[in-house]
Amino acid sequence: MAILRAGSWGNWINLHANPVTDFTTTPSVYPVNCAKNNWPNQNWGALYIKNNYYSEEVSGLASLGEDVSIESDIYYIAFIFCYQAAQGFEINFNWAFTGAGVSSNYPSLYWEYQTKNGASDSYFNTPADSGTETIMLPASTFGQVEMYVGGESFGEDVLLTASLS
Amino acid sequence: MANIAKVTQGALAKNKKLNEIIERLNPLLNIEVNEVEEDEPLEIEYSDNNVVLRVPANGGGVPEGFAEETLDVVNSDNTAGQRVFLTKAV
Repeated sequence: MAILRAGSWGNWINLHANPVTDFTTTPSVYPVNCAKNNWPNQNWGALYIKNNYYSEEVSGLASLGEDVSIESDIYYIAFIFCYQAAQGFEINFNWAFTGAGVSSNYPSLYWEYQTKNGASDSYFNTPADSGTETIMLPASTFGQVEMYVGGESFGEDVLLTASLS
Repeated sequence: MANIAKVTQGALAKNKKLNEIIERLNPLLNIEVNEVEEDEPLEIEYSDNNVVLRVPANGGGVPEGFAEETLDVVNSDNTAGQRVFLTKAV
């Protein structure tokens, strides 16, 4: 059965928010996607938030397959988006740590989702230097997904690159 | 479609109920649909020969107070689609 569109942006509490175009401050609402497909007037997107500890966090919009990167010795990248889906679908969370600091890096990776239909799941791991975590998102009238990857290398910098696909 | 002929011979002809049913059924085999002016009512006219449906030109139109609105939906295959809804402010 078809699902009436929410959004076009939103969050767990507010399912119908206006889209954000100014990322001067980190938004508290996120794109509401049609599973892994584009809406006629809105391409698939996730809010990314990245931080290097020494300056203000930076946010923006990432599309499927678009790399987001940050270089520091204390750092993270997070993705947040909402979705609607008539059937479950998979999304890949990709990451890679490179650079001189990798040998002394303490990485961490986390994801979670919850849906208005009562499903939820989460995962935490100490990830390898690169990899892909495939997440099965269940069918739902509205769900919210958050993903995080980061690390601390205490000295030499690490270049972290992450994307969704 | 041709009318069903009445039974006039044999044992079945003695059962008047059968021909009575045939008489009632034959008009339904000759339904005629006529488009009438938009402001005229929807009517159904029965006769011994046929049934005539008189339908207003706009097919009845949108119910009073409602408007057609095209809204986005997620289709059953997860693609984006659209549906036309009849909506009314509350």
